[in-house]
Amino acid sequence: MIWDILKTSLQNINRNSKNKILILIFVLLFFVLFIDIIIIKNFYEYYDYSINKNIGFRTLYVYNPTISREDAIKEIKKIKHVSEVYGSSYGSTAVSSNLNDNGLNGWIGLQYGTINTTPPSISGKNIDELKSGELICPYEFYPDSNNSSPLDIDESKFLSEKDILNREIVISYSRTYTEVIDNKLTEKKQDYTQKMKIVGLYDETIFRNGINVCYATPEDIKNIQDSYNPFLENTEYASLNVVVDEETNLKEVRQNIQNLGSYLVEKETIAHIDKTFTSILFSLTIIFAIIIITSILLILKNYLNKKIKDESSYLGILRACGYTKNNVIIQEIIENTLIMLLSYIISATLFTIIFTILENKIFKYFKYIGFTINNNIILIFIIFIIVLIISELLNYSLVKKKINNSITDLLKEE
Amino acid sequence: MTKIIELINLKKEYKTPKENLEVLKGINYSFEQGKLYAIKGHSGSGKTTLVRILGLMDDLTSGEYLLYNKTTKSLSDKESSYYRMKHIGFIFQEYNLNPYLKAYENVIVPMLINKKIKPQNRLSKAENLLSDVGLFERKDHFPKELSGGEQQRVAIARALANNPDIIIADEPTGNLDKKNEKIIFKILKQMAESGKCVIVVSHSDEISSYADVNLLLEDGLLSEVKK
Repeated sequence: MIWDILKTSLQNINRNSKNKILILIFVLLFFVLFIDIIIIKNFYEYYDYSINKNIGFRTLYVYNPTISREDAIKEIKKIKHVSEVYGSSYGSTAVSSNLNDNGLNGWIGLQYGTINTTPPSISGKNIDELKSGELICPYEFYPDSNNSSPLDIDESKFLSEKDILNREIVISYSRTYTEVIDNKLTEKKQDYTQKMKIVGLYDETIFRNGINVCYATPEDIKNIQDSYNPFLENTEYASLNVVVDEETNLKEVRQNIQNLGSYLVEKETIAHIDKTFTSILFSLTIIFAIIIITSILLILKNYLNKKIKDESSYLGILRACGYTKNNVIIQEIIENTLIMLLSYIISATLFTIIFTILENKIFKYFKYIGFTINNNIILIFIIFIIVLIISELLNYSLVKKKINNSITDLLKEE
Repeated sequence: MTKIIELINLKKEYKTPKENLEVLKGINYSFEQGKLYAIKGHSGSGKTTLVRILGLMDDLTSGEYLLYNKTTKSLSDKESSYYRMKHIGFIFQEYNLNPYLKAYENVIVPMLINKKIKPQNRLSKAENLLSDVGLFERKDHFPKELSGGEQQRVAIARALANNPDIIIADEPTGNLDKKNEKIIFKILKQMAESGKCVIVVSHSDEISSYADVNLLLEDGLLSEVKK
């Protein structure tokens, strides 16, 4: 019987121009809703991944000229919510590598890697297994950060898992310095090389890192930086990067460091700007989504009210023919579900096609500057199901109210 | 002739804010198969109330309504719906066809809930019924493409879709001209002759010539009128 009702409902939808107009309106509204939902999702992920997971957004810069670095590290590590403290000069460095065999110039960034600062690997070793001389690099690796625009990136030159995992590379860096020779300032250059092995790969798109950033052990970073500047170890007093466990705890940690006395703590991190901006946009997009969903439901309610009123005598006929109240309710619900489902299928298909085109032309390059825009068909479907359930509850209550009238009353309404 | 419907002291009251309005005041009557009954009466006499009780669309206040010697009191929605589907076909003054369904699809609508009619037989059955009312050629037309008389004939075919034993027609020709009225009454007469119990409420005098039994509903009571 359900199949028969389904068939009849499809005929009704196909032959009734009002239903077609309604579907068209819903297609447009769903389309806008899906755009909005994807924006919300990506904002949320940007906030979650970038600000909460990428330590750059929750790292405080702290300086204290009156205390040694080691003492300051010990002191600050005791503060609640502090997950990592290290010398500011030892946070990251840049080196060239011999990964340039496919035409890239081979510059890579090395990042201070500990369990508290590094994402889990998706292939190979994790950071807790990392030894000196080993690296964890992006899954999609492009050892060059000098592109002016992400759209200039040549994807054919990407190195992937098979190209880089367990591969030995030679990194090279040099120190330029001046010496007084024969009473003259003479510029000198000292080159260093070091063998390293890529032992693990992480998903750079989730962690919002650049595509040329690898993690190395703190010792390796320190050695490289000290090679660049042999005086660094002695001159860098208590200039520290303090990584806080969550962005929300930044304020508390900053206050607690200041309470220790003699510490200068940077006023704001990038996270504050990002948080405010993201929060405003996030709220606006949520409000917009609520407005769209409300519009869909209001339009549907008006439509159903009119439809049920117009069909009242026909519903009476169905009851007179032997349809039970439930039969009639099922028929109305099936018809409404079909309208919603058709609207969803059309708009979701349209959305996916347009998104895929944009993704291939533009969006996929965004990840190389640390902002990934992903589609999520499941999320869109879940949102649709929620809207569908609410609409069906609405439909059910309206039909139920009408169908509870006696057949005589239904037939009276013309 | 087999007795299909038996009414015993059937009463119907409507409660109004001022008083209880007794429309049917104790009807005792039996309807048999194979006969066309014409019920007449002035406006407000309770004709429509009576046929809607007969069609299990309205409750009676007291008395007894036996359908095939079974009481129809306290039937659930499911039970009364089943009785309507199996035993009763309705024809109203308004045709109430689904405007988005073709003539034959409208006839099929009642069959969708009848498990005894196989899906593959529905179309041929609908075509036969439309043929019986002279509309086979118009089976693929939508209601708006049919005249009033033709729409009523589709409604008649729809009423016969589940092969009911009882046909109840409430002012079936109220919106039709004389020519179409005759066609409809003729079809109703043929139904009675085929063994169905046909009960027609009509203001038209024409019906008397087709009816096997003429009934008058007056002062809440039903009585036979001799031709």
